[in-house]
Amino acid sequence: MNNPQEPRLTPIDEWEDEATAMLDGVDYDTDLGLRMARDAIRVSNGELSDAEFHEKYHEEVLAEFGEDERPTKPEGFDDD
Amino acid sequence: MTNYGLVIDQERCIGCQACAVSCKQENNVPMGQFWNRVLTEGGDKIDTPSGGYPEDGGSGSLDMQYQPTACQHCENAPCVKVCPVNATYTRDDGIVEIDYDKCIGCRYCMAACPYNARVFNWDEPDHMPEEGTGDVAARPQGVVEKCTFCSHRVDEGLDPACVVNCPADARIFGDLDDEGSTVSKYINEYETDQLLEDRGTNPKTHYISGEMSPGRPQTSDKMESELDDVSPWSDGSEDVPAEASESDSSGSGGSHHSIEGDAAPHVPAVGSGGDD
Amino acid sequence: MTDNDGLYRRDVLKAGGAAAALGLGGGEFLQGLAERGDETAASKRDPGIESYVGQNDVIQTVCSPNCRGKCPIDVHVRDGQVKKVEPHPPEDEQYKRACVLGLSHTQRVYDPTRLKYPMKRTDWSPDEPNPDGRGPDAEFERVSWDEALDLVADKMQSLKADFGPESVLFHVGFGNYGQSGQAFSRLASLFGSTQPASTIDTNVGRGFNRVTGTGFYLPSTNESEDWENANTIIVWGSDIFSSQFQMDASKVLDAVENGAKLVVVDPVYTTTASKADLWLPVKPGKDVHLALAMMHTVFEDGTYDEQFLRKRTTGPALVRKDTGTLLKSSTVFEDGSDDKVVAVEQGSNTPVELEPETDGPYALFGEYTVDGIECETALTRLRDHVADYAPSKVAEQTGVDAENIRTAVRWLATRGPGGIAPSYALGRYKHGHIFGQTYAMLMGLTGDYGQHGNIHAHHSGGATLSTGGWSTPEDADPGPSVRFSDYPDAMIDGDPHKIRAAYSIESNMMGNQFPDRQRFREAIKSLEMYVVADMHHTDTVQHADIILPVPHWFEQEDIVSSWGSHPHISYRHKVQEPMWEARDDYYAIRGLAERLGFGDYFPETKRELLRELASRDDAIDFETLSEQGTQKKQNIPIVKFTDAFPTDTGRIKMYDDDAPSEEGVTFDLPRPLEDRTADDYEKADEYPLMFMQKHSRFRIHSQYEMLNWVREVNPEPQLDIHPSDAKARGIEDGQYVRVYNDRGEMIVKAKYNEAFQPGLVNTDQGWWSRDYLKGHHNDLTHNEVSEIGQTMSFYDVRVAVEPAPDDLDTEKYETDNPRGTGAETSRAGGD
Repeated sequence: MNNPQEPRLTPIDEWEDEATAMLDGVDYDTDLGLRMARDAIRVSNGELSDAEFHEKYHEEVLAEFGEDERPTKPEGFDDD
Repeated sequence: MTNYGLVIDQERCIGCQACAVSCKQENNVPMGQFWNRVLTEGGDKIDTPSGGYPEDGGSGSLDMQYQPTACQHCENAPCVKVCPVNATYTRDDGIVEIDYDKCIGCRYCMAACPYNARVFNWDEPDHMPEEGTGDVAARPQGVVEKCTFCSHRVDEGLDPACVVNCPADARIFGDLDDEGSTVSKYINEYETDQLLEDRGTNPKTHYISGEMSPGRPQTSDKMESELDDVSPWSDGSEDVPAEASESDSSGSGGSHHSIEGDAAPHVPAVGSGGDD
Repeated sequence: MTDNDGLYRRDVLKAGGAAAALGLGGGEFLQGLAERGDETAASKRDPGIESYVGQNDVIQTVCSPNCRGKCPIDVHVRDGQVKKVEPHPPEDEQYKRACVLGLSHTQRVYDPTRLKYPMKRTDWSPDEPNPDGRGPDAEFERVSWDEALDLVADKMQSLKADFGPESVLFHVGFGNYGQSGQAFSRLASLFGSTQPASTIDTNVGRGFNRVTGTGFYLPSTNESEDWENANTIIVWGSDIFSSQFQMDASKVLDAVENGAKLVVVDPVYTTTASKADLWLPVKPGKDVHLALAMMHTVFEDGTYDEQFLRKRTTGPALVRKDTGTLLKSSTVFEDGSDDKVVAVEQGSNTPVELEPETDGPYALFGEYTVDGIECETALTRLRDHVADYAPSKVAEQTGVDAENIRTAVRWLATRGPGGIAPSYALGRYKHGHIFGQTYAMLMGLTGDYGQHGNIHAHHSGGATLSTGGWSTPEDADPGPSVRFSDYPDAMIDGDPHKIRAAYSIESNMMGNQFPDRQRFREAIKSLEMYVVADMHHTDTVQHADIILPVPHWFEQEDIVSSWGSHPHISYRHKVQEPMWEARDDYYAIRGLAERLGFGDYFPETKRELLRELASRDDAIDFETLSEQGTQKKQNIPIVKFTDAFPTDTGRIKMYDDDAPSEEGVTFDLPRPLEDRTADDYEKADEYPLMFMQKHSRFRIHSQYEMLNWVREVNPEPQLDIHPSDAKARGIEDGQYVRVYNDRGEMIVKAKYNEAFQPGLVNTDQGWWSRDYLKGHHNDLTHNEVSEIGQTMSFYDVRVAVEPAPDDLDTEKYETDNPRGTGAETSRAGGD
């Protein structure tokens, strides 16, 4: 994936294509991975809070992975 | 608190690939994978410039700079947020690391990392020599791996391999929370950038570009904080600001650097006092 | 979550599983820290990461190729295997160094190209050499060391009896900076064999020598620790940050950080150029014009160093107008000498003899009549000569903007001590010696000798073990020398005498590195016996009759000189015993010496040899060296050229009345002379592109070609070509192209590269035959040398380029084999 002969980082507006390629063939929901990736950057940017991010994907993550151990879990969050 | 970070002086970096390859060696990185790549800010291929060859005999528009790039150990690491099994986590000292035992290979972290710093072992990892190299065990097929700031070395008081092996003294590792550390001083004194600052990831890797720093000579493999004899680059005195501003003012006629007759020359930087 | 483990996790390493069993969570690494001191616990500090820090045996040794590193290194060994390499600070710690190649020995030690056993070409015998069996299809069979050495010694003896000892050539290259070469030359001297004379990279140094009395390869220069004192560094024709100086890059960068101006003169926008304050994109071959224009500016500006010119040069010396010779002291003074020259004192016009290192009120310019002889000063001649080379006048010819020429030399002349760091590349043009002469004189004008901050070459002086003539015993009757470039004539045509057998160590020259490779192949074919000792199965080895396997450097004890690198001698401690049946060159040399009747001349063991050689160097103590691993030679001056110059006058020659001539040009003053770069070169239309073979950071000559880590970054030979040159030929970026001229061809991938001047193409040197889809870069180069420069002109070569044929087999570099042939196994493994 990270070819040492590639001269530069993938431009950010092309990043989703790259991310899609990375997730291609993965045993898990690729669409979920992409959406979470996109929103994780919004969390970094402060556009979304950890708690909002956690809640937004909790059900899907649980369904897909059978667990949700992300560190974004707000205090008192009901895991079930 | 300790908060490790890295400063890379792009004005000093000569693109020699020593950091890229010594990283592979130290960390037993499989063939076909790089945790640390030396990117080129320039043309469409590594080691090529942007711009056009001058047609008028002038210096023209060609431009090229190297940008070594590995995991940026972001303060707000998106990879950590998306990992459903908490395999990717941030250590108390700020190093972003992967628990390979937990990693299930979903690669969500790779999609979330805007720096393409992570690699996935699709196949049984291929090492040359077969038995592997360096000072950490190989990772199995099916997990994601990446730069750890050489946490196995840092835990023993040693600088990361890429830092120790840089012949240009362009890589400086240390505690961002310690105001007296060279990394902190250089971030204060020089113009530094983080990659993709608009993403809000707040990387702990900072790039100096524009004005060259004195670097951080490595005459020992120990971290600065482990050195008894405090190095000239971290003693908190005015040496860095003074030198930085002095070179600013050295115009074309700058005779203040000339050495007349038997006058004592500028004394080359001495060893850092490492005791190996 | 423990319950879910088995459901989602892939198999993990046993070690990883053990760590998991400890149940350490992400936040618990502090627990590990608390248990520091307990190795097992420490290694499990982070879950999933098993660390081996502290578990390695560390052996200090040294890397030894023909580069400007000679880097003292630590080799980490665990479980009986080399695991990694790190730089080890030498006695003077500021010379801590290593590069991407030295750091990768971990791969080189175990590479499948390593030779394992002595071998004999299957269809070779001393009486039936079957020369046509040599080459790519040659097959080899394993023989014992005794068998191999018996065969070689017997053949040498019979050739000596029939044709004289000079019919055998002992060829040594530069592939190892240990001391086995000393023993090799000693045996050659005793046997009386033909010995080699280098015609590689001596061009610039020979020209510099005409002016200063020193220089063969590049002249010595201040040790690199002093480079940060430079105020102006003009790097001329060298990518020092990729080759020659990358280990010392910090020292140049420190100079720049201190405020030095970095100027790069190069037709290529190199890594070094990308760091420069000013880049002069000179056209290939026009360097002398450019340097003369710089002299012109110095004269015009009056920025020459008058005191230096009076004290240390023949600038004020008088030249007779009638004969063009310098006015000799013996002509003017009764007790005057033939070696001394004469100046006049300014004002009084009184003639005075010029002593070395003596200042005086000598007239620098003007015409004077002494004893009725009309004269003018040497400096006047030089000034008048360069009057034709105003920057504005040479700008178009050299391709460099006139104002930038002036700026560069004004920095050198006015900012305090600095220098010019020229390269071997300039000497790879046929008449490169003229540049050596020119820049030596230019720095005479600016007074840049003998001070802190002066620079005269693109690598420093370094330290060499002084062995006091051990390689030529007093009772030996050494045979003649034959120049590298004359090998084919000697082997094929018997000119100057017939060479019938060759024994080669530490060299991949004949099969890979020498120019006009096909001619050297023919030369090998004319031999009755070709013995090659090497570490790897190189192209040269593939053409051998007898192959002697040499161990990796980590398996040979040695003392390593650091010529051109740093002022230490290093001890190469063995990291491990030789693998398979590889043996130190000294084993073979001594074994042959015994068989040839010279056994008594050679100590029994390598260690004894090293003790003997070290004892001959007063600045080195064997025990100290062995114990410390490095010893700084205290007698190496940091600043060079502080004493009288070793010329007749003790001064720099600003005019040479005893100058050699070449092609009708006399070099009393620097006069441009070009070969294939000349504007009117006859075949310029047929072969319109100049072809150079840059030294990259990815190989040292042909060494390290096999490193898989490095080949991931730099997988295959390429042709750097400006997009305009490529498009004009219908060549797309990344397309395979055929590069050819009247000697040969090669097929490589085109790489659009704006860094390269239109009209100039490049393939980095050092690749092996196996790396090309067809041909080789040295099938294109030629073996013509200037009689003055005596240096192979690798870059003075013209080629044409066209798209490669459609039916090309490119499988070698398709995506499933990204590392190219480097990932293949060798052909002559032997087991």
